[in-house]
Amino acid sequence: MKAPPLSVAGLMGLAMLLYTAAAPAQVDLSGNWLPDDSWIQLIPNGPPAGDFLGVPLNKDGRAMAATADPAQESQELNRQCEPWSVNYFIDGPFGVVFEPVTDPHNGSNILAWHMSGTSDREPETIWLQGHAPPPARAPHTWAGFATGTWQGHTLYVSISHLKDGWLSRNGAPESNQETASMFLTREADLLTMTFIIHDPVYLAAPYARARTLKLSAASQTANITTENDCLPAEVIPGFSDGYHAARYLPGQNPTLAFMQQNYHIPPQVALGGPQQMYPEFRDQFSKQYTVPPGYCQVSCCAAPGLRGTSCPGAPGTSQPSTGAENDQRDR
Amino acid sequence: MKGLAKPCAALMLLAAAGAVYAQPIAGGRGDATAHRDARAAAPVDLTGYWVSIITQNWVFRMAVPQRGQYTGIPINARARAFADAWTAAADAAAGRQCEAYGAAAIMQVPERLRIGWQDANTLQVQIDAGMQLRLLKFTSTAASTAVPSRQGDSVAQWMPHEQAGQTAQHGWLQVSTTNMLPGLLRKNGVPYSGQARMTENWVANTERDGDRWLTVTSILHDPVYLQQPYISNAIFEQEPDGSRWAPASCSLQ
Repeated sequence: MKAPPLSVAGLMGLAMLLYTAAAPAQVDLSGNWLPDDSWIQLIPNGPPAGDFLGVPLNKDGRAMAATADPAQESQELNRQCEPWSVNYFIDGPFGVVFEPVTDPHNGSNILAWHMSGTSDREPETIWLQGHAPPPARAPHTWAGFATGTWQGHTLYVSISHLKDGWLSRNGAPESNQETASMFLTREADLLTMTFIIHDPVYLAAPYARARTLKLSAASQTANITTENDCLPAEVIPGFSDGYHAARYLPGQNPTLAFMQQNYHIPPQVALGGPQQMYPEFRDQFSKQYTVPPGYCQVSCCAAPGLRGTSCPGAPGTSQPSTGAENDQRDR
Repeated sequence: MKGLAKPCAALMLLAAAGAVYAQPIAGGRGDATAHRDARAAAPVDLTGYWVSIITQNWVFRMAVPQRGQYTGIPINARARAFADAWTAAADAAAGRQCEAYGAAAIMQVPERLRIGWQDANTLQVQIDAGMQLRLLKFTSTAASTAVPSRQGDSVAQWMPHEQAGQTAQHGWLQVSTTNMLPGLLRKNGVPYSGQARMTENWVANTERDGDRWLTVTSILHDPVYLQQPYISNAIFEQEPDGSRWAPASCSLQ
């Protein structure tokens, strides 16, 4: 005897069960998230010239970093409008805006998360529906291709198909073979991003960093320009002829002396390397390091809300305050 | 037709129940597990060996910064005055070498962690740098009356991500620490007071290639020395064994 067909109600119930069982519970990432931590790489125009400390650059990466002059990149016609890469979400001084991209037929189904914030870096779309990445030979973009999977409260994002560019503002390179993992964890009004970069061309080891952002009701960070507003200028009067590459010859980069002069870090150490990331390097390094004498003169007190060199207690100066407290442990 | 009515109704009821529980958890907060066996309830395994990955604030963590170099810490004028007057020689002479290894600063020190269970409700974090020990206790206690200590009193709770009918497979660890002795946030004299309190989120992540990373986000409140909460992140990578474990005494250098 032929079995009777399922009723429409039964089919709907089955569909609902399958949908709710399959749909992962998501954390709401939407909002304007502003940086609430502070590290030296975020000082104005940071990190400092020649500071690649802790970046696991390999030999080629160090060679590229040693000859870079990012301040001159506008001399290259094809780099004048180049946005910062996806790394800049963790390196840049500005915050991030997260907006859900919802299914037009089902507003509660989030297809993707859109990351944006400023126009000097490319917005990122994190696809959630199990999209396969494009083929290896597909065009690479500044934002690359990103897919995300929820692991509890954490969104695990995989990024590929990135263009080559700057790993850091001061000239560490990144290749178009770079891939990245990004973990986004929200706890109340804090969002922690852990970012791990893999680059077989310029890095000898994974490069991991983290930063924490705070949900803000304030309007978003400054929009410098829109990408479409940038028009490259062939000749910048007094600055370039539009044809020369922005690189120093090996051994002739004057900016590499900055870390030695201001932090007593030898240039060869300041150029980075994988061994620097690990605690055992400290013993090796201490043999060649002495604390700079005197009082800090460069980027001494940058902190949230206190950007610049002014220090509390002595506005506008970086000199020690007079009448300092004695060393009694009243704390 | 009649034979299928009851199963269909049951399916619809189950679907409705699932729809209620599988809701987005805005903010991500889960259910505390203060009164259960914390080891059994752990939604994530943090045990094993972890090594600091020093890629941020390298010059402050791998080296002793110059006097006056206070970038990144929202100190107030009182803290600055203290730091400007502080000398390592005086602290060393007074036997205070471990002041930079207290709970408020220890996770920023280049180090290795050995994490294990001391008992069902105490996670033990051994730190080779400075030979320090943190005990993260999964018991809900009132303000401690114990004597302040270098590592203070840490109360831990799991923050699991739970879905109806499923054992929590994801989550993180939240730790609240108080009752700390005064100490140093940096080895150039930046202080924190005995009134400081700290909240940490310990989040472990695994990449597809199997690499495990631990991000410890610390939020330090100090009414004596900070203008606003000081937030910092420390990243650790899991190591397969303790072959590089290297206990070392505290040092102000």
